[in-house]
Amino acid sequence: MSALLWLLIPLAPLLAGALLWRWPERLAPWLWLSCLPALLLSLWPAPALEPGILWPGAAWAAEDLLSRAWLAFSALLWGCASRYACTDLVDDQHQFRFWSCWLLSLTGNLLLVIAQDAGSFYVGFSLMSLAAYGLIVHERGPKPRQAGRLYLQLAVLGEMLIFAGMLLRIHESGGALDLATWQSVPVGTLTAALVIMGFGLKAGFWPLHVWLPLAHPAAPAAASAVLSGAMIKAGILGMWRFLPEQDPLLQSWAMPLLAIGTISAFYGVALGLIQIKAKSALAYSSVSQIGYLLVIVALAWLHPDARPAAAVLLALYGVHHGLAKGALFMGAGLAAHYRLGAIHWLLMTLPALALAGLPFTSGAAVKILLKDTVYASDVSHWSVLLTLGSAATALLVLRAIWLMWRNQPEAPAASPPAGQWVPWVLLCSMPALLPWIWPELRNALLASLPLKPLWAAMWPLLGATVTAWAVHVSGWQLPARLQTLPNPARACSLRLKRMLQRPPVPQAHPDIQRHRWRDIERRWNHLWSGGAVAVSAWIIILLLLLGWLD
Amino acid sequence: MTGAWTTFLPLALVLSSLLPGLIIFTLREDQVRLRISLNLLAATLKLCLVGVMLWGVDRGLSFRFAIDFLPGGGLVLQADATSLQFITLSAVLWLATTVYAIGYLENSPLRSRFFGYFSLCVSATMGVALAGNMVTFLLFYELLTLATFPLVVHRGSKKALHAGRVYLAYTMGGGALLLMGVALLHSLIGSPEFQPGGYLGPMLDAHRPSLILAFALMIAGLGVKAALIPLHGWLPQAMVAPAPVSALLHAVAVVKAGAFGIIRVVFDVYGVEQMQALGLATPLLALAAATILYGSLKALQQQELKKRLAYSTISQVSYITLGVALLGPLAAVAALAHLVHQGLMKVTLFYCAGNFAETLGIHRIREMDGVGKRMPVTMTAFTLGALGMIGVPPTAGFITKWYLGIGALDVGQDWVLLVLVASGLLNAAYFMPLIYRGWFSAPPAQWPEERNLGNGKPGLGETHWMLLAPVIFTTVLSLLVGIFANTELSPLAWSQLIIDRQFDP
Repeated sequence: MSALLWLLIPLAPLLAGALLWRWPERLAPWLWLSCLPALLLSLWPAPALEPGILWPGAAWAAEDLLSRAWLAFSALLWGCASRYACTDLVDDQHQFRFWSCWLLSLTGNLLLVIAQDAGSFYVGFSLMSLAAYGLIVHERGPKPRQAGRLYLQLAVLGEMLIFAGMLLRIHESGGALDLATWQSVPVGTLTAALVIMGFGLKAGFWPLHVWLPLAHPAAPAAASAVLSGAMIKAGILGMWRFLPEQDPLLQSWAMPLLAIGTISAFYGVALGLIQIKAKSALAYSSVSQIGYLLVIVALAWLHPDARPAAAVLLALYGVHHGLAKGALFMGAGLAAHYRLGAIHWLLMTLPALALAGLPFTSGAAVKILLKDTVYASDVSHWSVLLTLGSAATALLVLRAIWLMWRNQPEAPAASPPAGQWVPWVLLCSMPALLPWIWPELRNALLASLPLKPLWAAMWPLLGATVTAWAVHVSGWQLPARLQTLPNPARACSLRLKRMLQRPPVPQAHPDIQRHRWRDIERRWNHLWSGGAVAVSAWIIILLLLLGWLD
Repeated sequence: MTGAWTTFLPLALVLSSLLPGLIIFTLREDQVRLRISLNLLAATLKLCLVGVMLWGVDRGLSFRFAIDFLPGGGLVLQADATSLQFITLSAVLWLATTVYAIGYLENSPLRSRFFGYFSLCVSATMGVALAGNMVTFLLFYELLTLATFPLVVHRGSKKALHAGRVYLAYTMGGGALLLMGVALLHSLIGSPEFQPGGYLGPMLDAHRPSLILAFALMIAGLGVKAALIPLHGWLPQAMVAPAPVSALLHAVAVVKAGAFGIIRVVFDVYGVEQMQALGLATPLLALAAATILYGSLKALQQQELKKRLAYSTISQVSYITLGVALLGPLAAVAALAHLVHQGLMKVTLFYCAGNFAETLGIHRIREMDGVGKRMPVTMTAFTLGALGMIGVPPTAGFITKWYLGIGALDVGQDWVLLVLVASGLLNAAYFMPLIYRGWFSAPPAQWPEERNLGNGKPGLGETHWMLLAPVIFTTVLSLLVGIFANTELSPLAWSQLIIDRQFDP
């Protein structure tokens, strides 16, 4: 197979965008096809492509399990979401703007997954980050605008941090750009801090998550799905790729990062439970889940010899969460527009409980792998937190589904159009189907099947379900004070915008200055009237003399 | 025979716009068709000549034209790799701007005068680029000042005349300073031809104070045109000129002549080793960094579109000075490449600003709401140009920042990274709101002053085609030089060639 096939991955969406300009209505239902090259190449990868005409050292490939898995799930999620969005937006008057931003983000996201060099990664990352702004503010109104503003401010800040970190890293590695080399180059303190902060802003773990719970619910459902499912993972992938696998500095930072990941996992649940909109609860669930991904990355830094296993776990966890979260966000979009039937709700609980580790799904498989990894590490006593985390996640997703169910429209039950439910059902069934078609995941699932782990996975879920049922039956209401928590990040973002609009330095009054300058000019002219030429000549002669004497 | 044509080609390059310019002065106002064909013919001819020259320099031919002028320094026009970088940029953008200006000034008075000076301005720029020694450089540098003044005051309004006076005061003052510097240097060693690595090496120890003084005078003189603080005052005022003039002023002619002069003085007169020995780089570096930040901060305060772009130029052109002053190979590549990159991006932005003003009467940033709906092509070009200024990949601006950053780290000036990051953030702060307004705000019921150019429909007919074609052309170019930066044909590769000669003679 030819290496040039890799060109299809970024070019297919761009080409689709160009054609869309010409035939907007006719082409939109087929836009999902632009994800197909990526999906096919993730299954049957071509040899690496080195597009040297772009920048020195550019290389695109997906050779290891991590890239292939992430490429596959990104393509699948984006494809399903594209088809879903097309039906969702059929009457929208800003369709073209939406699709332009959508296809650019898609290009960026796929490019960064197949990037084997820092340049391609950064190009893809920026393209994705900036174009996603258009998706967040697509729906009019103050909420999307505020969310978009905060998102953009932090995205640009993140870009710049990564830019600085990347240049420092290139310098550290003596000019090399390829990420494989970077894996063995020691990292400086400043570089590591910049890279982790920059990518952390995209990944959205606590305390860098402030934009995420605002931005993800504000976007249209399909956009939320890709934002939460695919895009935030780019931050984790960036950290994994940019920082070395074995480094004493990172090893010493692993413990604080583990703590941050754990806090993020529980903080997301705590804040998610007090949300009153389903999509906000799901967004906080993403904050919580990205905490687990950070834990995996930190564990890999803590124990460099266990890195291959951690890479597999990261790939599995990313795929599992990406598809399940995508399905849930799209489901939330459906539930907001149609009154769903029982079968739909049953389907919806599948990805939801899979996130909490439901047996026989991808959730149970990744949970058991994560548990094993934690057991084998220095922090084995933290594994009880995992069980607690499962219960907490189950509570949160049940609350999200309950919110969807409570806020559904009063219309008679109707099935959504095929353009929406087909991709949604496909994503919903993935947690159950994927373990049987993907060997790595199947092995993990088989390990979770004996009775003891099965029970270990089951009882947190049962506990959470019983609690949720009790709360539902008792009719308990969220205290009003918890519903309107202050949001300092949004306030700061607004203040920053105001400051930039009216910069603190007052504009100097040009009139006064002009008079002053004119006066000085007059006086100056008066002084030299008649002798200007002579004086200039003297100055030049003086300078010439100076040069001659020197 | 080969000797003859290679000798006269540099002269032909200067004359190819000088002669048409002089002929245009003699034309009547109503000889529109003749004037247009003369303009376009000259611009195309020049582009062909530049093409021949590029081919020749690549083949190793030398193009040199010299006559006696002063004792110790003749009038030398010579095409080396550095000058070709600037010449190619000027020739390409001149063609685009000529087309733009024809569309822009359609049915306005005094067009013969305008196009006459316009051509003179370009031939002076060619002279600056081709100058083989400091005396020739000085001569054309002053000619450039004189040729641009009538363009700045072209509208003849009170504001324009005031801007013209300020412009003249600054640039003549700068010219005088440059003259002193060049005279001082000339008295020490004469004015030999530029050479990579400088020609002042042998006399370094004997004339240390004079060399430092001459450098300070020359940088002060060039800094006026390159808009280094505190000598930048004329630039934001000169934006009252018609849009094609602003575009030319900011992207090619005046500002770039200053920056090009700094490149020449640092690399081909003083040379890297002598610069280091004299300790001249650090003050220049600090000045450039301060200008970058100051220009961005001031740009943030502006509420007028063209003024904001003008302050952005002050900041962006100093990237070139910064790259030069870092005295490292990679940073120097960035500086030379940015000469072209900034030119392409800034010319695009000014064309777009002109399109908004001409088509819809938009002058202030507040009025840009929803303009993307009415003029999507122009707004796309504007967005790409603005993103390039911020340094978002894969635009041309990103390549510059990338090389500049790595170059700074290579020579151990890590703090420059901070300047780049801060400048990137500030650029985003003053360009992002424009992009937001253009695409995401609701358009007003009535545009400030809509004129009937083009067919009035969004798309390729959104404005006069002569205003739109140059925008598309320069946008595509600025994308191409960014995306295909690593090909043989890119400005970056050419800069690499120049710098290889400089650092490993």
